[in-house]
Amino acid sequence: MKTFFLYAYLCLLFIGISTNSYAQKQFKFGDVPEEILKMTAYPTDTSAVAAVIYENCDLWYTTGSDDLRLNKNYTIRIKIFKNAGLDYADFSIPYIYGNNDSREHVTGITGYTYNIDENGKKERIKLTKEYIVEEKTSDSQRRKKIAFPNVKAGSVIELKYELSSPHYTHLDDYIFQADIPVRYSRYAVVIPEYFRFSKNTMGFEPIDYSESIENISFLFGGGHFSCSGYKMVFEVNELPAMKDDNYVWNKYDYMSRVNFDLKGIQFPYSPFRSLASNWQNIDQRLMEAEHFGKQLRFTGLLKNEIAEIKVSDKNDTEKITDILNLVKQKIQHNDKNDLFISDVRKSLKEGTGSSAEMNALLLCALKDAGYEPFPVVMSLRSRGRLLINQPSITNLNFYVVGVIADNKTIYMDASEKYGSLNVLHTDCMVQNARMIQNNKPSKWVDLQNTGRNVTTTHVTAKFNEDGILSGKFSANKIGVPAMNACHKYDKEKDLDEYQKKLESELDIKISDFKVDGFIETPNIVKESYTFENTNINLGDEYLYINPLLFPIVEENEFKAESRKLPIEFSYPYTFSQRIFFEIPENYEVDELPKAERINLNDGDITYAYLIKLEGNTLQINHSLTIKRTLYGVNDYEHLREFWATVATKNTAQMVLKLKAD
Amino acid sequence: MLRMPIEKPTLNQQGKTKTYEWVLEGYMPVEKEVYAPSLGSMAPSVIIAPVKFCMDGFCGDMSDWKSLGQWMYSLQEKKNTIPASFSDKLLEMTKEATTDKEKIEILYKYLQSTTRYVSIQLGVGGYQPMPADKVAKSGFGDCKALSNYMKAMLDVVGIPSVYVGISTNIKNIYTDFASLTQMNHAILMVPLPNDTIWLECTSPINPFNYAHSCIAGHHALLINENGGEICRVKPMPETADNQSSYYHITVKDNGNATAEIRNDYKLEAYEDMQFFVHSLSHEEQLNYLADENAFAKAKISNLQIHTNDNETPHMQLAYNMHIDKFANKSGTRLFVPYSPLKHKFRALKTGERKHDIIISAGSVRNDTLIIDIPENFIQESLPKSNTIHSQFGNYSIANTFENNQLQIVQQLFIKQGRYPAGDYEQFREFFKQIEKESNKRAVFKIKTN
Repeated sequence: MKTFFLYAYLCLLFIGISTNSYAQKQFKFGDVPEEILKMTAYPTDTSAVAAVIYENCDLWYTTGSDDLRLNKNYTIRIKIFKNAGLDYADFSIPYIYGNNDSREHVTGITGYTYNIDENGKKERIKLTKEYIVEEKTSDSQRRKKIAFPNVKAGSVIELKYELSSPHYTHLDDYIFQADIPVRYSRYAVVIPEYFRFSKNTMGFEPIDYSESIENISFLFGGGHFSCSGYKMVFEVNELPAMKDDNYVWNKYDYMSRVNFDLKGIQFPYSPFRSLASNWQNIDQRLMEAEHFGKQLRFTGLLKNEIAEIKVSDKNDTEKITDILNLVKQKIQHNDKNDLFISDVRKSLKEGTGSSAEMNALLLCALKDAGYEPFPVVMSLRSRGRLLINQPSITNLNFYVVGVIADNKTIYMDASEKYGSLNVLHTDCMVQNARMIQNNKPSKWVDLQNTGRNVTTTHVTAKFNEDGILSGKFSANKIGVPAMNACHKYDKEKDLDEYQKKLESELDIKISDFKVDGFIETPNIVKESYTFENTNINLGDEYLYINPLLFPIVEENEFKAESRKLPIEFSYPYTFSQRIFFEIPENYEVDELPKAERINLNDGDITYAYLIKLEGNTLQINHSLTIKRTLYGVNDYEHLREFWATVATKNTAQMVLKLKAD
Repeated sequence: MLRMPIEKPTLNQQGKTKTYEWVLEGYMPVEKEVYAPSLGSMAPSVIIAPVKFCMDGFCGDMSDWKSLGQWMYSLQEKKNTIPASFSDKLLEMTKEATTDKEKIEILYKYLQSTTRYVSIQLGVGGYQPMPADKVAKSGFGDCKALSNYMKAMLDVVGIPSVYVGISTNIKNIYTDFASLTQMNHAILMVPLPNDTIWLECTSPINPFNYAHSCIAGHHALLINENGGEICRVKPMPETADNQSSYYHITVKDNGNATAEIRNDYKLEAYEDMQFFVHSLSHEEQLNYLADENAFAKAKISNLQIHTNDNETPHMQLAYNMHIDKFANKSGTRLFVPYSPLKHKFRALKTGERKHDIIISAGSVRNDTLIIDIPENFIQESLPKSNTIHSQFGNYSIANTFENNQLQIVQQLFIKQGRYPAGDYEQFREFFKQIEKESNKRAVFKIKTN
């Protein structure tokens, strides 16, 4: 039930009767109505620097020399309101420029800039060739860069072009929403009856949909061939600008858009030509692919080392850890994250490779050691959520390795330097990843909760003979906190430097600084030290001290009054502290912060601040647990209030009073 | 040019190709430190420039700034023609203006409202401006094209100006070594009898004659018919980063509060806040202010923005705030944050300092807080007023408490300059003290009758 809301908005398909063909009928390329040219601000968002007034994209199929082509006709009209919106007059049209068979063609680029001249008259300037530059972006990619002339605040620009592509099985996502408001946008696709496709609409804003049947005529082998086609029209009106926010994995996940996935083609009297119609099909294609499955079949890549590990008397968890470590030593990560494996043997030889090569070596090595490892494919958080109802190989961009041992499933990513068994980089902690096992049906797994993420700290403090507040601090970190801690240590030159940094951040003096477990593939990281805090002086009549000494949340993370996007925490965790604070002899407790225990939505997040005095020792149990990572906008106000309480409690002070005698 | 200690290069010749090789051995990494001099100013480096060179058919001599300037000047020659009809329009626009400065301002604002920056970097185009008539037609260009275009417009109204090459990241270039790579930007300078005007031609929002922080005080290469000449752009005042604020806060006995707030931003602080006016929606502005203030939960209303976009630019924000849990209420006490303002100092590491300390821009910050404490509370503990003097600047915080009204005045001045590494501990201590003072709380206790 808790995760229901996510599916609810990601998969909503609004089917309705198209209500706004008004805007479409009104639109005439090359002729901007006065009212739009004279508009000074966008009515529903006066801060908008620009707005898409009209956008239209038609897609249809024709026949090329020996195969189908996908054609696109694109038109856009943008109004610029402010100087900060001038960038919206620059366009870039990327296209594939490979050999003849794969080359795309961009043609018919036409555009105008409209202004009102000094005499109050409408002025139209044509986009001529000199404003269109061709750029080579890679061996097979080019782009047309367009800069509209004479654009200033108040201008309206119009652009249209056509693109013809031989890559007819792939339709890009069509994104209606933008960083600026969109008044009207239409996307129409005509698909021949012989095509099998699935369509999905996503995002928060409603999308109008209508469909009809049209006759299409193809030219095949010198003769005409007609069939009927489904014409699908998607329209949106008045979409607000999409803005980024904190605690959002990827704002792209929430933009209103349409996705088409061609599943196959069934011409009359011909066999069905499947084009990845389902996930089983994708699994199979992946496992047979030169740069995926075939690269995972190598044996004996680390023959001697694996043989040694295999005969050792360690248990499975230890052996797997050794193998993971070995792989990290054999191949350095080149900072590239990938699904496809170019050449695992070459990477091993050169000692450097992408995540795909590192994990391929890990998988092969685990297999050699007698396990049955499998790839777990996904789309990283930073690349956008993978939707189960949209089977598509192009949406996959990463994989980790899974293995079942000691009666549990263990996930690993060799490219995460400080990752370990079931501790993955948060970018891989996705809701839907696909486990592709040999001879077993594949299944979907949720990688948000692969292991425990716990930080436990223990603090004892008292005023020493010299009247200085001093004590011992220790922390145990497990899971993602352990991984993060290692990255923090790693950022400094050495642990000495880390200690110095900590001293300045916490404004304390640190000695006996010790860290255990700062290794690649850490299991548990233990940090401990002795501290002195010279900021509190004994002797005053009243002492005001925050008894937590090491508060965990000092500021509300959700200060903004309003929120548009859901709240997504990085990972579930528990943070708990135990504090023992000895009250100095000549003081007594005058007032303590009140104990507090709050929870959000039946325990999705819980916070406790339990304080009691036992003899002259103050004991505090302080903890924050986040169980659920994803929250809807409806929960925002509660989260804001919750975090305000947590922040306030973390800065609360106790009052100690000098004894009368 | 060599910045030592690098041995002279070895030369290898193979056919027509000469290969120079510089070798640096056994050099320890330069440690990263905050407030440190730039890596370029500390690490050994080699800068290479050709003496005689040709680029796309334009030949020149880089042996000194004068000859390099000559080459750059030759690139712009004949690039400043403006169509006759456009000239008439410019003359018409400026005919009412009584002084040259007024005329320049009119044309600058016209430039800002009719052109935009588009980057163009191809071949000699990386150094050669697009002709002025092309900019007039297209309404866009890069820094060179727009500066040259502005120059051409000024020519029309009879005001001579000078095209200037500059670096936006390096304040002091190697003046004894002429090279193109030490510059990455172009601006325009207009010499007037009693004034020098500096024009940043790529920004639609930069105030007229305001040398912004990426060029102020930087070396500049003036380029005119006699060649190049190094000078400096008008520097910022010593305290370029200038902020002040006024808070009148009324605390209720549950710790919640209402506040009337004014924030003032000048010069660099104004630059940093320009996005607030130009890029944020009203809703985002409110969210930004809620986040900028250190309060756990606040609601903002009645936001008013005033700006003076002139040579000494200034922005003022005035708003009201409702603050939940402003004072931490704990049983019988109210803990009132003494200085509820977010300071943005980077935590300074303890330990040995390797490099000198550089404070590249001075800053000044004045805050006044008037806090009305509820009638039924009395003072229990007030932090002492304090003044800290150091070579890096001064800090003072002073309070009075009368008629249940707490008044706090906080002043901070940080002095621009270079300080020896040996003074690092003092430097750290200075900021630590400020941090400590501003984290204090005033404590009030409920009256017991």
